Amino acid sequence: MLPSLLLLLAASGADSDVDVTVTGFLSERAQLTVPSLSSPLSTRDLPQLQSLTEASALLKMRLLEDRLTVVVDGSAFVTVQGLYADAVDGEHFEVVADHDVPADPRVVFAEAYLRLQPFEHLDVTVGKRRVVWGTGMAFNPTDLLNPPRDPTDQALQRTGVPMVLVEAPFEGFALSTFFAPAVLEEKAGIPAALLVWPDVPPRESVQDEATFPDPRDDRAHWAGAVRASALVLDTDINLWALVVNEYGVDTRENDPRLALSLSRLFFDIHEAHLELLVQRGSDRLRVDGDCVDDDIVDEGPIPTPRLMGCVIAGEKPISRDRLDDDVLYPRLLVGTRSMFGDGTTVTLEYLYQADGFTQAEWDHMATLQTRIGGLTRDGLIDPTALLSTGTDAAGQPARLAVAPQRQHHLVVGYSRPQIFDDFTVNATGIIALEDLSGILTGSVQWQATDWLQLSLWGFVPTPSLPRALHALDVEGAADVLWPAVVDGVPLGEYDAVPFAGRGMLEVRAWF
Amino acid sequence: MSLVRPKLPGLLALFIAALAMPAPAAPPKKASAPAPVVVATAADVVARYDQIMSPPAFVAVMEMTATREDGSTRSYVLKTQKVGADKLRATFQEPASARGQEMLRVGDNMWSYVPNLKRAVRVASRDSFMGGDFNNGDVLRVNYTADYDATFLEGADAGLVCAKLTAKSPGVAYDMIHLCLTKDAAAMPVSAKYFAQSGKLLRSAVFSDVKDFGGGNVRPAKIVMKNEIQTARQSTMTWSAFDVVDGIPASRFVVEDLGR
Repeated sequence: MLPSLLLLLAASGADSDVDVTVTGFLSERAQLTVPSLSSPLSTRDLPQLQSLTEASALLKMRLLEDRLTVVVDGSAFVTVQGLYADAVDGEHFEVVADHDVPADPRVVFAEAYLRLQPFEHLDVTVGKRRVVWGTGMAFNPTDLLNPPRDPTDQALQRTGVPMVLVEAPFEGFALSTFFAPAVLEEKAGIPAALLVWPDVPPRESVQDEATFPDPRDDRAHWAGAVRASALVLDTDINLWALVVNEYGVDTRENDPRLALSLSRLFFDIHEAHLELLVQRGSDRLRVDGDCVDDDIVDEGPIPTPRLMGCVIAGEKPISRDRLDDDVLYPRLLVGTRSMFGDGTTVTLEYLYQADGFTQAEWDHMATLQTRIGGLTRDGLIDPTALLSTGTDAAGQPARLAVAPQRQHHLVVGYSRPQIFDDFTVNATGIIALEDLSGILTGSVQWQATDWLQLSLWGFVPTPSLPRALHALDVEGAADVLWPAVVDGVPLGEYDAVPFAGRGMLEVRAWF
Repeated sequence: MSLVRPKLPGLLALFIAALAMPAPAAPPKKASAPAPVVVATAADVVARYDQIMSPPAFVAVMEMTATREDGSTRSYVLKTQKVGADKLRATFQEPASARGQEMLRVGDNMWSYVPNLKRAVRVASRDSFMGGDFNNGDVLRVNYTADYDATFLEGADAGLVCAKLTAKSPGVAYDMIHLCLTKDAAAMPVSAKYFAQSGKLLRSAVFSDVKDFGGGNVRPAKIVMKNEIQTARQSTMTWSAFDVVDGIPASRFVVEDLGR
């Protein structure tokens, strides 16, 4: 491909101007994580100390009088981590032997694409590209293709997916369509198999077929969409249809979804937005209640007999059992963003997921997490084999990974820039409304010079109301709101977070 | 197992064939500046100001420098493109930390494109522009004829003709402006004062360094905007290039084109 491109450039003639810009940064992030004593999950694989070094560069070339644009946005990461511990009986920590995890160098291309404009109103893009049509700030329920991003840092996450994107922009409206082949195999951050599986099985299947069975088939895996967008009465309107054919973890064939997003400014400073996805069936992982209901934690040779019974019978206790449901499961996000004269921005968003866990379903999941956490701490199981349901997409490390599980969430955000000119303060709260558990984050950023930025981050999970009342020995705490109750202890969605706190210091130098 | 793999060379052939197609609209061509508006009415003051500072279509490169109370500065270089009365696009070129950010205005709508977010979000007109003393409206709403009604301002200094501009809608940058031009054939902008609805003076500007940018396009190359609330602060906008053009493709002023 590259030699052909060079020939193209030579053939374009000496008159063509080539505009090349390179932007990038070097950053070092040091992270301290304090594991949680009360989380049902085992923290034996959660490093308490982690260093992440990143070198990132964005290359943009405009050629042939802007008819051809080449963009490459790549990053190289090196991760060093260590110091592990696990809770014992919820009372104290026991240091876990060194995991001997080597430094993990990784190269990720967030985007790499060619964009061609043969006519004024026609753009064709081929390559890896991040396309987001939704208007949500913390979450995008209509974004089914891109890797999930950190909802506490709305400016972070650039990774896209391979696609062919065709756009026809006009004054006031635009038409778009894309075809995205699924990445079936990836090596060193570069797709090794697109759309269909190759002749040879993946390396991990060759090395350990019991844990990683050969996933190959003879079918095409892709997603496609058609979108119309318009500016009508000062409102951004996007309407699109998305079709998924065995793409990623969604094994449905030719499954259509409809999506809508709106955004408008009111009274000059208040922006309101909405994002809606309507889909049939759900790809959410759910626990088989028969594997965890009324289970008895037994001190005998077979603890948790129901769960172990499922494992012995070859039944995974967790699966995507509603993929083929003939039921509509909408996901809706509505929010506002208020921008004040001093630069302060306040964001409020509500997320509703029809396929989110009900109280009973969350109870099953929380029970499974608790059982697996106990078995892991006792060294009886490797949770990877029990819970493996597919490959994870390799991408950029995120500061915080949050995937809302229950039905109702509230996100509140605050940002105040230009404090003493160069400081910016951010705070975000993510709250599960069924139990009022949440995660609070805060950060201070200092733009020391034009090219140097220092950031300090903190993440703290907040207990659910029932959990807090239980800790205060309030009678009937488990009946307050809608938590899970495991072994008599209420558990909210974010009570299960494996850390009690996390701090992060990041230094970033731009060039 | 029968497998089919996509052919990359075929894709490249598609690109080569596409490049052989008719070219899109050529880049904007420079145009000569029109004959100056003769200032006879208050509306002519505004029209002449727009003719100089915001021609119907232009491409410009400017540097905005914000000076703080302690004397330290922060500078941004941006390229701006404008067409018509209400379409303007600003692209940040420096510093490196801001490179790639863009802002777009279409009518009463403004968006800011954040490279790390890979999308545009709506912003308010009166938000401060990059923390300086200009606001978004100062940079993106540069057509006063469309946004303000004008009457003559009494008591102007000799040698100046001044107009009082009143906002037509709440979405513009300021509720009231006092704008002064030289009282000669050139009618160059000299100074301006910007007020809140209460009448409180918010900012004052001085236009200077008049130069010829080519094609008869003579205009101030520098605006110093003083903060009348925090009086130790000011911002300077300096143009290094200002090309009046015959037009810019409308596709450059759609949200989907931001970031390209």
